[in-house]
Amino acid sequence: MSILKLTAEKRNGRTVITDTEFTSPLKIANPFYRDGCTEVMMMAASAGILEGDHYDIELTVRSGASLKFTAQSYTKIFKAESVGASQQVKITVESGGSLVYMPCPVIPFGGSIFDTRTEVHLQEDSSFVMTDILSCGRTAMKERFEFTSYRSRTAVYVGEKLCFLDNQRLVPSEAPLSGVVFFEKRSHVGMMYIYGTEPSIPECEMIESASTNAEKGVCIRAAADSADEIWRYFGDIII
Amino acid sequence: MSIITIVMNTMVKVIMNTIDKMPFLRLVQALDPLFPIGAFTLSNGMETYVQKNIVKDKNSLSEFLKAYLYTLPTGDAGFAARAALGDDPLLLDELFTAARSPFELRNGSRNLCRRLIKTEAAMGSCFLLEEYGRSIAEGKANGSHPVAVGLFIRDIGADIYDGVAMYCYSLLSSMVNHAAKLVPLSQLDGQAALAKAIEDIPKAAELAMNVETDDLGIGGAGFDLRSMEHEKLYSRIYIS
Repeated sequence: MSILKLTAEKRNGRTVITDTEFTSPLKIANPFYRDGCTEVMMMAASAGILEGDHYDIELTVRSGASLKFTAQSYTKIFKAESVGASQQVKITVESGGSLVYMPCPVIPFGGSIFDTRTEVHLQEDSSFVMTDILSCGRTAMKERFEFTSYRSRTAVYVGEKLCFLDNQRLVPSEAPLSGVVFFEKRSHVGMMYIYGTEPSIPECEMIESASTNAEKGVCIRAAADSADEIWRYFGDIII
Repeated sequence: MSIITIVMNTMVKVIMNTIDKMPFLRLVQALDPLFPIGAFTLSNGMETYVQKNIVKDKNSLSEFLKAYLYTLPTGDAGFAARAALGDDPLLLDELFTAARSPFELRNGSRNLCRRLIKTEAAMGSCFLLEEYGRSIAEGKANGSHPVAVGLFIRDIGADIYDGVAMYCYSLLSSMVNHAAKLVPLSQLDGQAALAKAIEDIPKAAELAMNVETDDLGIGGAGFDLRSMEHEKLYSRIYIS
């Protein structure tokens, strides 16, 4: 099991990382400060996520602090024989805190098994943004929907109440995932969730995308033929 | 056997059949796509699929129905099954409302739910359904059509598996009706596509009866995308 835990706090007018704990292969690059926000990049000293790996990530943003969390490279999930790999992410953004959580797109390789659970705890006046981009495989190698299973569950709570749930279970042997209802003949799908700010969403001809008001917050979904296109589109959304 | 015994036996049979079949028939009525709660105004994303020329003939409709039905055990059918099995309706309502992120789908389901409760309450006593209606009125719940369907199954004492299977049929049948109105598709082709989709209903109902709580709300990213695109369609006939 690999752990990455950190806490962001506001001290003397800027956000600093206070408690950190990480175990190999996970670590963080030195944080840098930009526009009143502190940015932390997660790095993994391994080629990807291997069978039996379990990542346990915990991010806490204290009241008044502003953090952006990114990753250095795509999340590659390697082929598994039986149990696969899993990840658990627990995020807490206290009252008046702000977090932008933008991990890199996920590529599930042929034969891979992955289960990732994200639990986000917000308060009424927290701000939170997250993106989640998934590829159907190593598309450059013409590998499409050859993973064994991909399971992702993201639950966002405001106070005690569940306000947003993105629940995905993709098993290519059970359903034709490339077509209607799932990937809609595209190779990548993306989801962005924004809470606490009114985003300005540009029009985009390149990719298929739409936004909606979720029970709380705004949800944007996109489908395209490359992760970069969705990544760039999400980056253009002003939050 | 005397004539009196024969008459008595026949009467007993009629009464027993009435008691036995009544829940089933009440369910047929409540899940009929023509039941006046407004299902005909909600295409649930079908209008986008048709306008984008993705659902355009019998084969593409069949493909859509198959994929849509695949998501029902963790979607509408799963929520209905769990409510019918006795889960806390308020927890199911919260989960449903959070998972149904496209606004028009969430709002459409809420409207169907409220009208189902109102209509059934006017026709007879439905304790659980009316209690759920009060929770919605008090703002403790948002209103979810599948949760209401599940409570209704429980209220009238219908067979849960039959009820969930019938609900799957009702949802597919509505989709086919919308498609038949929007696409130049013959009624026969629509019914043929529906007949083919029905083959997977027993399995879907079985899965819905056994769905795990963590799996409730699993759907399709593409389906949500199309349902969200509906909000911005230039011209549209349906509310969702």
